[in-house]
Amino acid sequence: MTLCEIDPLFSRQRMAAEVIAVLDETAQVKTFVIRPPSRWKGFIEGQHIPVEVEVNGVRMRRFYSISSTQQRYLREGVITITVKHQEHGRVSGFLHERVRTGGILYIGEASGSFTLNHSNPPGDIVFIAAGSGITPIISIIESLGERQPGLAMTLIYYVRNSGQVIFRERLELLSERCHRLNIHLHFTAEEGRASRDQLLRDSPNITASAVYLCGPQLFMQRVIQELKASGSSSPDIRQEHFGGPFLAERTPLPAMDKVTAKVHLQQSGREIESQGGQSLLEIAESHGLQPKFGCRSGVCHECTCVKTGGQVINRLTGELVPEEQEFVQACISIPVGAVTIENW
Amino acid sequence: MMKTTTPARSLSAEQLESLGRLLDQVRQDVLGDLGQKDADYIRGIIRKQQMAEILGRVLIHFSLTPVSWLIGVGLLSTAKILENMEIGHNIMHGQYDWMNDPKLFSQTYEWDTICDGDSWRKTHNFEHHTYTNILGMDRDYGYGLLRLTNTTPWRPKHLFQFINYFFLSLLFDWGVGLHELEVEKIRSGKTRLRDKWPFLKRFFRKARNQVLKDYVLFPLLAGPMALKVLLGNLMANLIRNLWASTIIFCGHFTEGAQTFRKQDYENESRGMWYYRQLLGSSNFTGSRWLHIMSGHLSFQIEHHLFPDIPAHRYREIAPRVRQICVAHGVPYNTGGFWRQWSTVVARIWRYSLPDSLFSEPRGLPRAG
Ligand code: FES
Repeated sequence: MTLCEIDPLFSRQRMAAEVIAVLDETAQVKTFVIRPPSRWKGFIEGQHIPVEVEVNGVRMRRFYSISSTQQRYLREGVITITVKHQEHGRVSGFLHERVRTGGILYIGEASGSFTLNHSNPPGDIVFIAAGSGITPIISIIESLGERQPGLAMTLIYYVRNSGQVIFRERLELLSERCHRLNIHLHFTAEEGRASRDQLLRDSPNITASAVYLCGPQLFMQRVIQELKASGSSSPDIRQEHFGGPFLAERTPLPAMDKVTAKVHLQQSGREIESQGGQSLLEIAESHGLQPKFGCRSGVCHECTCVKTGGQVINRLTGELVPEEQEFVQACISIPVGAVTIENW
Repeated sequence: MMKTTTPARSLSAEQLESLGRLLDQVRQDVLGDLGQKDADYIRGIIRKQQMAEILGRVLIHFSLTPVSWLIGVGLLSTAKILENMEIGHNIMHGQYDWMNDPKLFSQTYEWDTICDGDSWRKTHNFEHHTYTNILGMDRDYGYGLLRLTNTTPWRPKHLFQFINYFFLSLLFDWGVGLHELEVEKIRSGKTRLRDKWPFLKRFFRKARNQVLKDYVLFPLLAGPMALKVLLGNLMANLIRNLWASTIIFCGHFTEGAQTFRKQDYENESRGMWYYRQLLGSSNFTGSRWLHIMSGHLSFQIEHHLFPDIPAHRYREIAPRVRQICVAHGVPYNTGGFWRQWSTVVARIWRYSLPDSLFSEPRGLPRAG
């Protein structure tokens, strides 16, 4: 009765979706077929949804790309997400081990701008994916293939070895149906990393095409470098970051007064760089913001803010605060690397 | 530093340092162990509270006999006490922030009482918990209404402070709601009423909603039985008030609980902060349900050391805290509920009289 008055900022729409089926794609990848409730607002291929699970009392959210099409959603009322079991990944581990057919997944509205741009040049459309980066791309290709089976498309797909190919059957089906879709599969364990010669071989016209790139950060950086080096002036590239965090989690922490950070304050739209182990509260104040605070020593929680990305160190203990903790005390939290604060 | 009359001096810098270190360790041990059972605990209490509230309101509405009406009042009082003390108070301290559950988030939770959540977070979580028992800084000490030490000069009006105490207890939710107004400062001219306007606006909005709910909406729903419902709700609120104020008075105003001066706060180390919390708070013993119904403020000492650790954990860490106190020669103020409360009553009584009637020296009260 008294629990309903919640700041709209935090009332993230959490909707229960029924799990219709769980399919094995590879040894480490599963696809979850789910039925969102009718108030769910729908999506565009390439977008992702937040999925929320509770692990040992802590709610955790991760974003997963939708790996099915709008057409299927309209026909059957279901969507799919495809999840790789990350090593030490608590959410992906929970999804793989605990979620069964007939269960419930909590999801949110779809978002993301990694979608098809209809003002693309009329040339080829090239998709480049690595690993589970294929998930948003398969839904874009399938959707296009259904609407315009004659469209010229190229998919360049990197996986470590043949056991890791996700959506093998769906890809085979697609290449049968769409005669102008070229699929190039590369096994990096044998062929090594992506190179410009290889990209040009797979898609000679690549520099004049619209490129959709999705995979781990380092992979995408490399592909962009290679494309730029291949002489193209400025290729039209859209990208979506996938896979683990950019900063390796197990790198040793710098001394507290040497920590540097880049803090993104979402509500006020600011980007602040900091050095020398300042707390989130000090950083915000030194840039003219006036967040609420009380004791400034970690007692009262008056300064607590909502951290939706990145990591902080607790100044009192010198230890890293668990990454999934969203509500952090700004007066004793020292941001490390890229950190996002939602409500400042 | 503290006056020589207080035992604070008796701890050396090393002892304070070790006190801080050991208590920090206790804190880290609990934080590292938080998990499903804590989440289940608070959600379980919330479910019980909601059931008690629904059942209580239904009984008050539809009872045909005074007995079932009284049971309804009892259930609604219980629900309100649970919501205010074990749920609201503790959530607003940030005890469940680690769960990432927006419904249990300290900064947006709003509780079922007159006091607006933001006002409470400021005056209680920040001021009271940071400046605990520092005279002139912790306005919870006597609430600007009661004379509880001989550092406040005696005035004839104090003769009647027992009446103040009674009405403060009975109307506790209104007193707490208006705490931020700082009436005593307005009277003495330190602040102006007009500076308090933003607070008053929030106060009126929350108070209006509460009054509408308990004294207009629910009674009206009962149609011709409106009066019965209004009375039942009023009773439940008063019972909650008496209970909450009694529990809270046992936390800092018992015989041995000490007070401090502003200077004590300057350059205070972590160990000294802990030390002040230890000396200024007192526990009482009792059954599991007494602890739950007091929001675990029966472990006021542990609560003041670790205000943001889930309160149901205080019970298990209390023996460790007590051991640390004993090892450092710090008094650990505890006793049966009635004994502790009787010392509170004695204190209010004692300081309603002029000091000349007593032979004790002027200064800070000593540990028991
Ligand atoms: S200001 Fe009190 S905890 Fe940060």
